[in-house]
Parts: sequence; structure tokens; C-alpha cells
Amino acid sequence: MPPRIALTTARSLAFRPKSTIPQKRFAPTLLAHPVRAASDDATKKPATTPTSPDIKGPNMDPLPHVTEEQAALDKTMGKTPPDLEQGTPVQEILERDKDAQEKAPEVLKQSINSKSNTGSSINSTSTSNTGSGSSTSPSGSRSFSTTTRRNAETAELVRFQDTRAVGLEYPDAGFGHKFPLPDISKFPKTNNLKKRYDEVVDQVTRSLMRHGKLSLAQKNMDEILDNLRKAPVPSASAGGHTLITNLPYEALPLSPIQYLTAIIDSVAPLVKIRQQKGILGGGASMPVPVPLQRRQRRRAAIQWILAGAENRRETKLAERVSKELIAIAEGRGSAWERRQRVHKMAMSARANVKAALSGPRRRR
Amino acid sequence: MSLSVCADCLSRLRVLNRPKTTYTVPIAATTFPRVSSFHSSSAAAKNNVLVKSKKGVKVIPPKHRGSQSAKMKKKVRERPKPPAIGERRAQRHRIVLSNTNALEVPGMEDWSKENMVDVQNAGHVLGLDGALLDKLRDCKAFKTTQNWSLFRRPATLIRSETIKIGQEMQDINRSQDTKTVRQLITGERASGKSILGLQAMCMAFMNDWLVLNVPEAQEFINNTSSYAPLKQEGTQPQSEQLYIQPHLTQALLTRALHSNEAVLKTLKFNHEFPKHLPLKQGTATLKDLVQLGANDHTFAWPVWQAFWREISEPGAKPRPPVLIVVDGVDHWMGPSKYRSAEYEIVHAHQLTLVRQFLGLFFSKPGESRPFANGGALLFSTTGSNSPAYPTFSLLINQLRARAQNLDASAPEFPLPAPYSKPDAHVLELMSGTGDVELIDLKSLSVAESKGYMEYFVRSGLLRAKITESSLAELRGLSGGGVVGELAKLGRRARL
Repeated sequence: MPPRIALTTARSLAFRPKSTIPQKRFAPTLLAHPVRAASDDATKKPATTPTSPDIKGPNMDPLPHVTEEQAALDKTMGKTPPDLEQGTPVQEILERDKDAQEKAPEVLKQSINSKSNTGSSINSTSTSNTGSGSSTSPSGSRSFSTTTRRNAETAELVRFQDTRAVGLEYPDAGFGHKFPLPDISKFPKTNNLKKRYDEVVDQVTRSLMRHGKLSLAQKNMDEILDNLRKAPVPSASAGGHTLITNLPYEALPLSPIQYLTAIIDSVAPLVKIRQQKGILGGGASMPVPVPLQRRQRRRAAIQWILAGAENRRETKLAERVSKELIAIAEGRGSAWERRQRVHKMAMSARANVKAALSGPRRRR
Repeated sequence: MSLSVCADCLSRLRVLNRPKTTYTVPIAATTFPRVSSFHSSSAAAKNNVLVKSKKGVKVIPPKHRGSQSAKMKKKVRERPKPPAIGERRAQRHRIVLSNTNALEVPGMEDWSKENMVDVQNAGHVLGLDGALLDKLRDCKAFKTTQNWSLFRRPATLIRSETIKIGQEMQDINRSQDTKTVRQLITGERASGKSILGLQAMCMAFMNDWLVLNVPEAQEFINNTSSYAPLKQEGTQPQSEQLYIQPHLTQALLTRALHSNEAVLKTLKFNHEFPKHLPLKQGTATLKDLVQLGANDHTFAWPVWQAFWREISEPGAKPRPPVLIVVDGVDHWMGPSKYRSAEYEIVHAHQLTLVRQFLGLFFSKPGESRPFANGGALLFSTTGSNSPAYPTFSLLINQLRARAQNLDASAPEFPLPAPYSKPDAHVLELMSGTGDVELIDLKSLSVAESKGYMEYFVRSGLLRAKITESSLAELRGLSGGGVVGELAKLGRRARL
């Protein structure tokens, strides 16, 4: 029994030629810039991988159509080229191409023969204004059409510009789309599901939430806004603090979201104090004022307001918070003092900013 | 290395001189048991008989092992005081009827007796005037679930059902023969059932009717009020024990007294009242009678009985029509939370007031007319707090089928589910549904919802233009125009 694995002999490999899959033929313009989706608008953003215009795919530079070839030939020879819109009849091609004439089907051969016979007979009987035998060639105007033609109206208009169909009945629709996408730039910001509530309202709601009960927090927020709506107009000059708002004070209660925003933005601190270690040395930390982003500033203000509301005596949470908000609007409330304290500390510690930036002090 | 005995132990050691017979122990600690090999002081102190026998002198044993550190004083955490008794309830039930920030709606008409049933007012919001408000407040017609506190002054949307009820009330006013209208209002949550009852009360007050209101039917059955068995009268005992509710009767009389004071003052007695009531025969009016019950709950039940007889039985002196409004009637269609002396569950229909009102509403065909001068009974179900009583929902379904002209013998006519145990008390009511009309409150019409939303806009609550498309959107978001949901959208704050 021969060994199973023959190490010495060369193994015969089964050679499978590449299967010939019929490839779809696309117009070259379509494949030049491949697109992922019809909505991927090539006009708005540059192609991420620019390709050289010289590069051509295997099927991108086919031979021209017979008629086009003939037209080019006729042009160089100074003859009148055939009409490109109309196809060239097979008989005409056979007449030019002798090889093809031999390989043509029997039916066509017969028709050529009979035509030449009748043509000569006509020639002999007809008047002599057509002198040569080439008079059998068609005049170019036939009583029937040999090609299928597109609708006259659209044929004039529709063409592809890169990937976009230009000249369709629905002009802005992308390739493959009947209707264009809606213009969402005109939609309000709140149409987005995740941004349907106002920014400040959403932030306060999330701060009110306890134990993940968002729906309860939203209910409370609703009540707070209602309470703001019902509260009397805040007196402008009380406490020396003014609300930052472009609305008159009288209009604030009826637009509770602007009222809430004005209150929160007015008491929001500009900075926070960070106790930075390792600069002074000896385990002491250096207070450094740090600027806050808008959302951070609002967060600080909301936390102060909620802390102030905790100390109130009202029975309902919504009432505690709304009373605290109104107190702040009228210049009372502990949040104003806290803001002042932070700002004062920041003023006194502002010299530390540079020290904090330059890093820990070197010992000499 | 430490010693295995301490100095104290060492001093107590005795050398036994007495020789033993078999063996000798040269050194033994005999006075105390060996507890520890280190030291024995505490063990000695424990067994010290001499110390213990001394009377009156307390010897504090030295603390050798107890903690020596100073005890910290426990900090008393300051708890915030809870709100005063009744404050939370008062806040829950507080009714605010105006918002001074809201804009005054220009050109809003008042709802009055003249334009009560004006068909042109359908879909319009009409204001309620001050005198009416006091009466409505006294009979507890306003509820916290209604959004009265958002607007400058109370106003209500006139819908087609309102006008229909108004026309029926006008018919009762005009007609010579006394007529009693019975209407059961159903509808989904926030569809305006309680408001419809309030509007009926408004119209009754405009026409100087007598109005009795039960704002919360649940109160009668949830065992939060006093109750007592009714003394059986007559020789043959009733099939089941009935119970009276003195405090609830007193509350009912109080509401009736304050809201109908002007009417009651003019009414004299038609019949004799019980002797034990401290009233002057002859000069006393019905107001004095009701006042007596409202002041003292022990008189409440006999006063109610006398009052009921006066308004329902015809007599020499004329009586105004009576409107009875009950909200949340489905709570009356099952077992109550009360227990009998045998600790058996008391059915809601064993409570006398409930029985009286329901008997009036679902009256049998042969029975006499309930009111001396006619009137209306408006019972509404609840949408959000409805108990699951299948027999009552069957009753409503039967009423609905009858409204669609479905015959009781038709196969589609709703019947109790086979093998189910329908509530016998409720089943008994079904024979008396002949005169009951069902008002199934659906959503507002387009014109009505437009009028309502425009009221929000004009009050400054809604910052939007009410166009055809925006109205369609609002109606779509509110379940096709459910009025309560529309109101929620109207006050939603959006930038």
C-alpha cells in the first residue's frame, strides 16, 4: 500500500479558471465616483478618496458604436457622417464589412443578393440621375423607426450630473428618489425627540429627579412652571439684584420658561474655585479660580436653588422650589450670597491663575 | 518572660503544713478558683463574700476592662417641624379660581339665564359671575383637577351637551306636569364629565332650583366617616341591615344650606316634622330645618328624612325643581369598605343615602314621581379612579345598546358573562333603567376645540396662532380633541 502522503511527488493542483460572471454594464459616469447611498450628496462634500481621471476600469473604455465609428471615419474622410441619433441598419454594416458579409446569416445574405439584383434592375429602368450602384443606400429618412427612442420631452432635459439626475420632474430628488428629502433646517430645534424640552427646563428637571423617577420630576417641573405663571410680578429693585432678561418684568410670569431661565442665568456663577494641590508645597492647596461653561454655570445655580429649597417649610417639593425661585427673582435667597462669595474669592485668588498655569514652584 | 502569677496572688499563697496521707501538695492556691494564670484580683473581688455582705456601703468596683474614654453627648438632630394638622389636606383641597397674571379676555360674555341655551354660544367660552361662583364654591362644585387657577376669572366652554342639558332644564321649568330627567354621564378620562355636572349646577342656580351636590361619591363607601345601623321600623324585619352616615349627611346638608340659602328661606313646611326636632311649628322654614342638621350631626339623619319628604312629596305649597348631581357614581356599585357587627362586608346599597339616591335614579316604572315639582338627576362616572365593577359596566353597556335602538332580545344585547357572579344589588337596578338617558361624552368638535384653544391664546397662556393645521395637530395630540388633554396642551410651556 503506498503511503498516503507522497512527499516526494509533486501534488497536482486543480486549476480552476476564474468563472466568467457576466458583469453589469454601467455608464462610465456612474462608476467614476462610486456612491454609498443616493442621499450621499457628492456636491456638498468632497470625495474622500479622489481618483485620477486617467484611471479607467476594464470596461470603461469600450469601442465606440459602429455608427459612431463610421461617423468618425467619415469625418476624417471629409464625407457626410451618418445621423448618430438613428442607428445604422445591419445591411449597411454588412455592405462595408466584407468579413461580416461572409459570416452573416443566410437570410441576410439572400436579402443582400436580391437587393443588389433589384437595384440593378431599377437602375437600368430608372432615370439616370442616380449614376452609381451605391444609390441603394437609404436616404436617411425612413417611413419607420429602427430604434426605440425616449420621450421627446425628457430626452431633452434629463441627464446625469455626477450622481444626480438633473432635469427630472422632481428636480431636487436624489438619484433613485422620486421626492426630495424634506428641508429639516427649517424645523424648530424642539422637533428632535431628545431635545423636545427647553435646555434649561430639561436641566432643572433632571436635577429634580430622585431615584430615576423622571416622570415624577417632570410632573413637579410642570407644577413649578405653573406656580411661576401664577406668582406675582417680581419687584425689580429689591435686594439690588436684577434679573438678566430681555423681557420686561411684567411679561415674565406669563412666559415661565424665560422667567426660569432668567433666574438661573442671573444667579449662575462665572467661576468656581478649585483647590489646587502641589503648587504651594507643604501639603497646602492653592485656590485657583476656574471659568465655567454655560451648562456648568447653570448647574451650579440649580444646585444652590435646590439646596435653598430644602430649607424651606412648604409641604410640597414643587412649592418649595418655586417659592425659592421667586425669592431669588426678588433679590432674596441664599443663592445670591453664595454667588457673591464665590466671586469675591475668585477676585482675591486671581493672582494664583498664573502660578497654577506655570506649574509647581521650583526649589532653589 | 512574665510571671504566671501576679504579686497579689503570690502574697496569698499558703504553704500547707498538714501532711496528706497519700501525697503532699506543697503549695496550693485554695481560697479561690484558678481562673487565669495571669492574675486573680477581679476573680477574687467577685467571690469576696465579706465585701458583699456589708450593707449600705456601695463599693464601686474599679473598672479594669470597661472603656475609660469620656462619653460623647449624643447630638440631637433638629428635625423640621411637620406641617400643622390639616394643613396638607387643606392644601390638597385648595381651590384657586383666578390668576392675576393671566390676561383679561376681551369681549368675553357672561353666562346668564338669558343666554343659557343660546345655540350660538356653542363652542364659546363664557364667564361665570360672582354670585354664581359663591354658590358653586359652597356646594363644592369646583375640583382641583380642573384648571381654574390658570385664568383671570372663571369661565367655561359651552359644548353641545351643555346646551342639551340646558334645554331639558328649560323644559322642566316651563312644563306644567312635573317631569324628572335622569342622565348618566360617562366618558373617558378628562372628557369633561365633572365640568358638565358643574355646568348643570350653574344653570340650576340661574333658574333658582334647589341643588344637592355629592362631589365625591367615594367618600360614602371608603370607611372614612362615621356610620351606624338604622333602627328597624315596623314589625316585619327588612331583608338586610341598613346603615346611616350621620357626618356625611351633615356635610350634605351643609352644602345644601349654604348654596341654596335664598331658596330655602322662602320655603315653608308642607308636612309635619318629627316632634323631637327643636323647631317652631308654623314659623319655621326649610332653612331652619337644614340648618339644624348642618349644625349637629346627631340631628342630621332625622332632618334629612324630613327635608327629603318636603322636597319630594307634593303638598299645598309649591316647591322649586331639584337638581341632584353625583360625581363618581361607580364607587356606589359594589361592596363598601364598611363592616357590619358580624364583621361582614357592607354593600354600598346598604347605606341609606346611597340607596335613596340610586333608588331615585333607577326608579321602577310603577313608582311615583320623585320630586314634587320635577327636577333632574345627573350622575357621572369617574374615568381615572374607576373601580372594576363588571356588573355596573354591563349596565352601562346595556344603556349604550338601548341608545343604539338595540332590542333587549337581540343576540348582540349585552348580558352578564356566563358562570360569572353578577352583583345582585346592581342587577336589581337594571329593571329601573327605563327612564335613564346615557350621555356618552366624546371629544370636542372642531369648532368647540377651536373656541377653547383660542381662549387659551387670548388669556396669554398659549403662544401660538391657532390655524387649521395647528388645531388639527393639537386635536391629534389630545386623542382627537379630549377636552382635558387639550387643556394640558394649551398650558404647556414651549419656547
